[in-house]
Amino acid sequence: MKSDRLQGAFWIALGFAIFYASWTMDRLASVGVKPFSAPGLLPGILGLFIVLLGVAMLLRARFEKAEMIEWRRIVLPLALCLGFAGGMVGRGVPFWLAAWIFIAVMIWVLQHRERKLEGALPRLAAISVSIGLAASVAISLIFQELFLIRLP
Amino acid sequence: MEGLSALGRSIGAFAAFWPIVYTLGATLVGILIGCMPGLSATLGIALMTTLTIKMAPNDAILILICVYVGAIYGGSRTAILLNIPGTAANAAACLDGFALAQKGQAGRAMGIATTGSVVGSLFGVICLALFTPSLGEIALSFGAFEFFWLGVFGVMMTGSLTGDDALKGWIMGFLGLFAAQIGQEGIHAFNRFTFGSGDLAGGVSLIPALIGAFGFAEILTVLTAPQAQPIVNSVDSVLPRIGDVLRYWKTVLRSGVIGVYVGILPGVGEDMAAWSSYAAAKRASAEREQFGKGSVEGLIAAETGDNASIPGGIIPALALAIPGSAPAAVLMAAMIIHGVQPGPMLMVSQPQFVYDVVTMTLFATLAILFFGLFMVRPLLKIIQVPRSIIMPIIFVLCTVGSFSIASRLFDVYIMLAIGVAGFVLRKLGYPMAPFVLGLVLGDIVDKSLRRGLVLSDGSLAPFFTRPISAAIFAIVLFTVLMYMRKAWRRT
Repeated sequence: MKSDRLQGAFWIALGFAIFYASWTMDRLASVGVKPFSAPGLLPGILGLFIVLLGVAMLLRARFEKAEMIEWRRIVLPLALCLGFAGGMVGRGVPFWLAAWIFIAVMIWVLQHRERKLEGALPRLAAISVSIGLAASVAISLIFQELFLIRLP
Repeated sequence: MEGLSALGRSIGAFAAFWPIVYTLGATLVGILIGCMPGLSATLGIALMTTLTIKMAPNDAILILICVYVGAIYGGSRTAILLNIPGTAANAAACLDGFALAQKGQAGRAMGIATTGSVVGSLFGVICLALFTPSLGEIALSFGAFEFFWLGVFGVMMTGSLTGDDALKGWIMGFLGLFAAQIGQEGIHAFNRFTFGSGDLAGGVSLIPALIGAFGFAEILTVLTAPQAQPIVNSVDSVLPRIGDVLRYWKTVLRSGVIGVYVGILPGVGEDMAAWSSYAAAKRASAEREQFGKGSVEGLIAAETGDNASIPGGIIPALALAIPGSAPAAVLMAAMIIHGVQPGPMLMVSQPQFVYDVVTMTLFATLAILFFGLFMVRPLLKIIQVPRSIIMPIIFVLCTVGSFSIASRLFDVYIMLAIGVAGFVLRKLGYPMAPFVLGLVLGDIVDKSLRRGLVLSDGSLAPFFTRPISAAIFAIVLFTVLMYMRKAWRRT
């Protein structure tokens, strides 16, 4: 999605979807609510404005040099983040353990290429495991014991 | 006189052991957050809101204000030494700060940044004390019509002024306003856009959304960029030179006024204050050819402007419940979580609180002076920690922070979804600040519009005929037309 044209089309579609959902929303007329106090009033107006701005973008159709997203570089860290927060946390794995595993694996992944060239992979393994453990224990203690906040 | 005695009471209450410990600790945390490129003041306040949720309200808000002031100040360190602004607010400081550092005057540049920040904050604190009560008094005459336009004004201004493309800014603002409509609405308790989900009925919580937009999205952005190494390692004396301030007193005063003014404008944050102050200083300067090449005046203007806009941004948040910037929006949300209801009634129901905030900002300012003078070398170590170690830890904090506000896993998923969407949108040039403002102001805009229409029995006339309402509408219209023309010319 590099051009104004594609983005404009996306916003027009989203705006129409919002407007349609607001238009078909219950106006609560059966309980005596007046149309200008209906729950869908503002969302509907917002949907229309998003359509208008999408049209403006489409008409402008300015092809710009949008920054390319380096998905190859980001895909593994992104998957790890989603796996930790969406798959491990709150699903029976103790938080400190999940955080330890996540931080250690993430540091390993982010520094792997650089350390491999230096022939320092065993050192990297030791660093990532120890930083992961220290950070996860510290975060758990600070939140749970010091500030009395429940962890997931 | 009454205000002065209230301020005296506040200072007396906060000049105790624990508040001072909190001030120093939180300001240091703020400076560290500001020092690390990728961590913004907004994220810092959002994360600390979750950590301090069980604390007494005054202690928690003191900590948040100190983090705010500390983060904006701390960002100047990275701007000077790495040529990368620690927070968006310090981008203008890069121009002359880094140039001074390259000339072997990194210490002097940091001293100037400290002086500018302290003077700017103090100027802002005075304005906060003077203007908040008066603005609150004026706002008592505001009705639903005026609050509707104020909310719209905030979203449109942020959309116009943040980022390079007003069209994209407005889309993000409207998207934020829409996101605020999801869940149970406040007038008839009707569930909007929930698709039968009980979790969605609770709405899109502000703090997890902010952590997603400013935390997770930023982590992903930072991980895709190459890491910069500090170019300047040797540091000369960081002691601020009074001569620099006295020599440029007009610039300091002008930047303070601009900073506070830009801060008061709804939704326009510290970065715009720094750029506006810098531009004004350049226009008025006799040494304008030095700007960008290591001008002391340029650095002082940028740092005074961004720090003056912090108290400036808090003024409308307290008096009108319309935050002046994204970090002020989080601060306002935190105040509400702690049982303080900002808005025109604040001066009636909790007048002392306004002076408490003035005192908190004053304490934070004194703390940045302390750390600016005595903690330069240890702080330099922080920016050398590899981001491959910092970012995974920050992400764990983002996860805990999103969960701990309401102990809902759903909030963690909200953070993830907004983070990924925010990352993609950012790469496509869509600014995040209007989205945040929209999310914060969505409730006020919705309720004010419908309440206004109920009061006028469906007539739109009062929205355009009541004097203040008409004036705000005219400003909104003027802004839109001006930026529409600008956006169009870029074709």
